[in-house]
Amino acid sequence: MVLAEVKKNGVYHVKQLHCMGDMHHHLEDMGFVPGEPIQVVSRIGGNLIVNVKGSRVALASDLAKNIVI
Amino acid sequence: MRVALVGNPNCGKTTLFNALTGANQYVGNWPGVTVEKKSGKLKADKDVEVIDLPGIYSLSPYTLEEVIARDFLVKEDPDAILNIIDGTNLERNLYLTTQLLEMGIPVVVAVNMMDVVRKRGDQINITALEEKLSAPVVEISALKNEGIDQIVNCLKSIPQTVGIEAMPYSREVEDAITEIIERLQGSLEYAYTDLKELKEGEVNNVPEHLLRFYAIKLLEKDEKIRESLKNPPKVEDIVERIEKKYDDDTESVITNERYTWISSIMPEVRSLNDVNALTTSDKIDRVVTNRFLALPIFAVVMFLVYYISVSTVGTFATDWANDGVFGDGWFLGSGGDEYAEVVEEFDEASENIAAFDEAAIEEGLDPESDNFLVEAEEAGIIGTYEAFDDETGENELVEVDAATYEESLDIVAPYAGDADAIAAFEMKAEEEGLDPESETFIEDAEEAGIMAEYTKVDEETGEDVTQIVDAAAYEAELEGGAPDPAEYGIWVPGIPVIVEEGLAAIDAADWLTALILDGIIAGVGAVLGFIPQMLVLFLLLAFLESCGYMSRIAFILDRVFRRFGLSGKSFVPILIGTGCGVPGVMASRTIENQNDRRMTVMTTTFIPCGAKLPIIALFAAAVFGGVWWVAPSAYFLGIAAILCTGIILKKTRFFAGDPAPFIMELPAYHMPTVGAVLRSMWERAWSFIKKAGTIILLACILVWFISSYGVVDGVFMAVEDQNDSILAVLGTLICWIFNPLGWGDWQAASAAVTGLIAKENVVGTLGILYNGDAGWYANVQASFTPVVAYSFLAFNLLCAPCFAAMGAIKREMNNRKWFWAAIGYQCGLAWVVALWIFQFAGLATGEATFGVFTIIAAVLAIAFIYLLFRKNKYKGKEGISSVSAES
Repeated sequence: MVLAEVKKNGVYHVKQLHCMGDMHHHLEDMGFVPGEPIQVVSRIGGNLIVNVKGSRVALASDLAKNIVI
Repeated sequence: MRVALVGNPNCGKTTLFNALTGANQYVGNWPGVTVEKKSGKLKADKDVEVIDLPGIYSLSPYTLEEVIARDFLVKEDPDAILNIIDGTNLERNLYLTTQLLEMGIPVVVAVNMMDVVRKRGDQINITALEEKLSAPVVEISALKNEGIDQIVNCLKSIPQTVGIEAMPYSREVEDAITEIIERLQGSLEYAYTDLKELKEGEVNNVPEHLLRFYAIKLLEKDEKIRESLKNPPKVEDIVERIEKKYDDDTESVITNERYTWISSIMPEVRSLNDVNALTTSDKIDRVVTNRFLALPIFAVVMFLVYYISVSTVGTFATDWANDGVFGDGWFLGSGGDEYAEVVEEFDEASENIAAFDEAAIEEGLDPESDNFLVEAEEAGIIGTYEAFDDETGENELVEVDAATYEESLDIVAPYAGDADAIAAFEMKAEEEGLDPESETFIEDAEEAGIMAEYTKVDEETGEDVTQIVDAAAYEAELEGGAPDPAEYGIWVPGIPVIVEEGLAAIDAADWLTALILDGIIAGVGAVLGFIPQMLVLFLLLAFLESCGYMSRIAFILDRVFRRFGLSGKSFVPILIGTGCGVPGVMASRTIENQNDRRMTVMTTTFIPCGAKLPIIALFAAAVFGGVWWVAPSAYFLGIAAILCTGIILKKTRFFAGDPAPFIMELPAYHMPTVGAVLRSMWERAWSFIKKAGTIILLACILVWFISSYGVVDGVFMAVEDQNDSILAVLGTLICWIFNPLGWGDWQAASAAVTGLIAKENVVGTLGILYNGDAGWYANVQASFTPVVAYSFLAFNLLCAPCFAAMGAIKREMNNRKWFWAAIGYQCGLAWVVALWIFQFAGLATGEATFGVFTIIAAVLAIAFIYLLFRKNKYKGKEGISSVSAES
């Protein structure tokens, strides 16, 4: 399952990132690395607010669908 | 000594920068405010220069900010790095620290937001962190000014030797790095080019302390670093070896090792109070970013911001500023109501008398005759005039009969001129052979220098005093007085009154008096009069900003914006644009995708900036009588313009392509300190006051000059009638453009044009051109109907911004064609929207007649709707200019 599809708030763990290149590395830089717990705080139509590495990040669904959990 | 200030976005770099240097750089509570590096001297030691770099997550080259920061660190070779990290978010912030430690530059780590950390009950072991990072660590709170001295001390005594291998990688990676360093230094075997000519060590231009950094970047396959080398060594074999071993690409391997190392030191460095608790921020986010409530909450919040600042608190203050401080004067404390009542009574009585006299004269009676009242009553004279009724809100016919007339005479009598003085003066003049009945009597008497003496009883002492009456005094006595506000309370005269008296006292030249009163005070005063409303707006925006809600708006609106072809990231420039368009346009730099960036640059100035607030406030109060919807509607008009532009332009080949995905860090909610909010409000307001004293002052002088001078009968001179002035001529040349919009007179047209210098000038120019006995505010009220006013307002909100913002657009577009396309589009859209408002709303109210322009407006409306709803044939395709933002 990917992060964009989560149906309820809660904690999920990153398995891997599906995208390549710049986006992949930028997500990693922001803390989306394999094994990392991600807490979903709020969802609006696939867009998410999550807590990762102690910081709060808003991300759009087209990014969240690259994060496999 | 130069110190680079580096840290994650929104971790308080600029706040710390301001605290260290005493500068007043703009601080915002969302990521990406600082897009350019800024430098300042340390307050405590002027030899130390601090450079504030944009916030970055990493030293990789994925965003423009990262490139700016990295280039500075690599090329400018600062003496030290001051790495500020957010104590509430150690893990992610230390990720950047691990990279900075590899730069071979001494690093001081400042752990910010310690106050929040303590409040949460968390603990950070500074000694352990110092040991792990082998760099000095300081606890600070930039906002509360804690620990700033310690940083200064640390910077001064910075160790020049650096623990460059602070963070060890796994053995395989370390081996790879060592190998690459060797090749970088010139192992001939792996060079692409023939290096035999060069000595060892001269192969590449890499300074010794940066070798490890370069080696790691080469291992990460960083193209920019590779290109910057004279003779980049071959490293593919090493990269391949590592990737095979870890079954991942090298960059991810290194990222993982960094995060693993950070996780490994965390238990020693930090102890958390409660790991899984939902913070207050989480709870607030659950509500305000709720999928159903988010948009309504946003709409209500923005509505309240504009409603409160323009229509409630602000109006009260602005009326005081416009009518009082920059008008006739105002009451300190009570007295205002009583005075207002007396004035109303007096005005009514004066009008009654004038109307009755007029009717009587028509019947052939002479109001001056002794038995006028009796004759008039016999003749049954009734005077009539129209008066505005406050209760019904309409003009009503007032009838004056002889009895009312008599009453009115009694009311006015105490304020009438001194009959003795008038008689004495006229007698003296007759002796000199002048005729008091002649029309030019006063002028003739003044020329002849007539002075008359008469005796008057002093009210206080009861003694007779000899008074001298000259032509001016005679004129004043003839006109009679009016209720004197000073008798009803503590009356503070307005600035124009005081200045006028002052100028008269020093006998200033007429042109100077006119320049100061009609030019500078009328123009600049009109702008300054809106400062109270600006203060309220800035206060509310500063609060929303620093409490953390503003950055949520970007997230909430991303979904909406995306549908309209813009990314939520476009909203950050727009948010900043609510204060001033210049930093707003500049903030668009953080948008990676070039199409998105251009679109954002084009649309950012649609949102009403602080300088446009006076225009909104003026019409909302003067023409619309302060109805609730005008001010918020200006804001939503701006958003609508942005959204429609997004839809229309995305369907053209120039802007095609999906907006870049949105990812943004959100700051935690916190209750802003009163001081911080007030400071932010004051900084913004102060820049407007400064602007009023410089550019607006100059513009007002220019506008006054060209509106007061002109060529009459072939002679250049001061004109009596503004319609003969240079400005009238110039305005008339262009006012045909605005005729279909409902405000085709030269005054409004020139006000719109002077708005290009600075938007406050629209109000300033109106202040000068509508200056008159009734006050400019009332004259504007009389000259604009609501439909025309809204058309004028819409045009000025949407058209090309001020010169400063246009300059910013030009810089960010970096292309003449795109710049003119943006300005042309803005002006065109503004004209079309204003045309619709006047033609359609005007037709409904009967102000506009059906004509060619109504048809044009209808055709344009249909075309607009077509452009909005036509199929997007570029959907999913890349646009022609969709290249990445690499610089």
